[in-house]
Amino acid sequence: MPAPRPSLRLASHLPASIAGVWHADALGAGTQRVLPTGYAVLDAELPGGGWPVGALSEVLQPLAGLHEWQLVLPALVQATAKQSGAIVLVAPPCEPFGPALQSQGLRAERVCVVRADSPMAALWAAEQALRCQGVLAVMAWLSQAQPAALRRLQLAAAQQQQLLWVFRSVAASLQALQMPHASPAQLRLQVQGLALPGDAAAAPGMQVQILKRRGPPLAQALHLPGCHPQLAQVLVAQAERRRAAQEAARALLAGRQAASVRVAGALAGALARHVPPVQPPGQPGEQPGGRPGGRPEGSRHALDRSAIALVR
Amino acid sequence: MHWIALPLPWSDEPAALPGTGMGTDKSAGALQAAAGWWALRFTPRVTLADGEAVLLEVSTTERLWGGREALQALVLQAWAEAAARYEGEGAAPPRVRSAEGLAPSCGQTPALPLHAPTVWGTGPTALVAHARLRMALAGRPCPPQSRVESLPLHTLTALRPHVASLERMGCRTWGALRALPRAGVARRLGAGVLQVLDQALGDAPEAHAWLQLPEQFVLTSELPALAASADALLWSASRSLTALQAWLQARQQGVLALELAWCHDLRRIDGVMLPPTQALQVRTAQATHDLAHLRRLLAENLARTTLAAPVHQITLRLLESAPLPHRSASLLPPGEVGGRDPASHGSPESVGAPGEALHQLLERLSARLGADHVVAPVLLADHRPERMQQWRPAAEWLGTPARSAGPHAGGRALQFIAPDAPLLPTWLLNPPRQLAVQGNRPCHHGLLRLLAGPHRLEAGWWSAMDDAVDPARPCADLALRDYFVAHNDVAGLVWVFRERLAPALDGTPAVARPHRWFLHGIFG
Repeated sequence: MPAPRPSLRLASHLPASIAGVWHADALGAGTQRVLPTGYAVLDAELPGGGWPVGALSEVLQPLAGLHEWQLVLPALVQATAKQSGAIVLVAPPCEPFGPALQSQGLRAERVCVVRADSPMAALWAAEQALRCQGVLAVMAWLSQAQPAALRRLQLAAAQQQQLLWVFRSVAASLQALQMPHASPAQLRLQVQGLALPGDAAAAPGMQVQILKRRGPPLAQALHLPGCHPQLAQVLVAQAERRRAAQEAARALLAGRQAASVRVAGALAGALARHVPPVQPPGQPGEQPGGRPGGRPEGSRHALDRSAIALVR
Repeated sequence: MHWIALPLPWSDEPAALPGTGMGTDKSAGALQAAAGWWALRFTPRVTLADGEAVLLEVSTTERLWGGREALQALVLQAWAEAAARYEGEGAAPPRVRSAEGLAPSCGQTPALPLHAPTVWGTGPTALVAHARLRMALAGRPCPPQSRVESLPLHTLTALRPHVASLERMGCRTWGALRALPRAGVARRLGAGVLQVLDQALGDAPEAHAWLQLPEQFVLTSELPALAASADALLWSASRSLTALQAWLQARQQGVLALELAWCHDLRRIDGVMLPPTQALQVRTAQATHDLAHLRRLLAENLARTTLAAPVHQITLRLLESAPLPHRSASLLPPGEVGGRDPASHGSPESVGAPGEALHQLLERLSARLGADHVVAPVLLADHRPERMQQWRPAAEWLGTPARSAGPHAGGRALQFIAPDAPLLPTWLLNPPRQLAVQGNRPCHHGLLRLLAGPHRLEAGWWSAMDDAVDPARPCADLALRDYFVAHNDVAGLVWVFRERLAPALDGTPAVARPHRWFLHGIFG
């Protein structure tokens, strides 16, 4: 939480504990129920410390299908463990993959998908699902929804005290709304993937920017893990392996180069012509000489191949 | 014996139009009988009198309902509900006038809601109760219970033809008629008059045609006007649904399948023969007697139906029903009860909570969007990602709580997929999307970098043996693939595979050609 600025503390003589009133420089932790997000970093910045129950949470994303599950799955797993009810997905960009969800803790039989042919049908289905008491949460992908429709959903969620996420692409929300920053959502986030540097042994992360919340604006974005920890582990391990292979290949190339220079210095130029000082990658099996001492041919090939993959 | 007489919650117009045909009379009779079905929940002895009153004999059951006063209040409440349901569908029930200054046995109830009957009659015999009801309906004061003899003669239906002649003799009340010499009365007015008088005063046994529920619910009704649109049909059908609800409540059954059939008024239209009737079937996953849900289901189905011709008659038929389980009251306050039990949603004990049950929602969504648009995943044991789950209509799969709580769907599959499942993507593209290839590297919103892999998959040979492998289809039964986790900054983490070429069946090696890459999932 950012430090309170003194200029906003002018009204500090006002009573602090009026229901529904909060200081503009503090997070508005009202009486609203929340559902912890599963990320401590994100919880700390959300009013009440989690996803609001009974309000619309709008998530803007660069491309439909990116980061939704990563963002909401920990919360959903907690919610489904505690309460009964289905999770309704309205007009998802593609099929949710049940085995993956189940392995992360969300049982596949709690998921129900509504495929909508038109935006109107999607809106209708989302609103109907919100009004159903057997539904635990609604995730809707409504790129073309107008503010009036979103407001309707917000009211339905507030009335029925349901969890509701609406996912929209950044471009579509800019087109649909006349004022790009106006939205009936109580909480508005923007998610995007972090660029992965070419040689870093790290799993891709995601960046969450809180565009709107009951509280002061948040200047800097939050960094959350971008994939499941086990997958991240695999990716890091593979990257480490590649880097090690690359190092080994580099050392091998350097050693071979030095050896060839020594050979060229010691022997006549005829042999040196056959072994160029820098071996062009791609034809590893063609050079007749320059074999480093005691190393079997197969392993050298493997190393060469991984080096090639990295160079590519 | 204690009788309660109430006016019919609704009366039927066809009954007032004689001579419109046999079928009409029959259907009107059926509908009229349906007007008394609501009373069968209180006592098995219910009879309809003269098409204007429902008579209930409650002496045998009043102890069950907590005494005479409590039962009377309940009966009035039920009457009000039946009338309000009917009124809610657009037709006004016969409004009864209030009578003032009445004796306690037939009077007004200020505490009851708006639709409560303002009049009723009670008495030791059916005829007394009916007579008191008539007095109250006419707004005239009733004599107290002990002085039944002072009731006027016109309150007995059988005496009505003779009221004028008896009045000229100065005989106006039951008591006066009883005081006349019996032989002379019998000679002049017929033995039936004396018989009715004896029955009314309790001196002779009464014989009643008790109201009985039909075994099968089939209700045919003529429409008051030709219905040209499905909306108008629904308006008429909801009236039959009210009768159906009374039937279901009395039988303690719930609807599983309904059929609404309608008769076309025209034989042919534009020279094309029309079928005489058309029908629409509605099914629910769980037995219900919730009228609102049935009406919404009918509405969604009718909204997608176009009538071939105007309709003059509809038939509502109950195809399948199941007994509704008895609800036992909970000792705990509502809200947290059964919260942990996944089977608790959709069960009848959640009636008190706002909103509708899940299966009702799924049925309604399926009715409008189509059953294949509202789906739920079912996990299967297979190594091919596209076969690991199957999409089934959710109304069938999720709607029944036994199945959604059942272990056979989740448990085994969970064990099966456990080891490397976190490495699977959360989104699956089905079918896989072929990617452009640029210099041996797949492209999806730009060049992809392969981060992990290959993960070799070779499965489905058993089904590929049966039918010929189609090399054009990546999703053919035989799956020979190398999966990679790939990434670029726009597309994020994706799951791609490189198709391996299957050797031809006759053993010749596959034709050399560039590898094809497919996008199969997104780590979203």
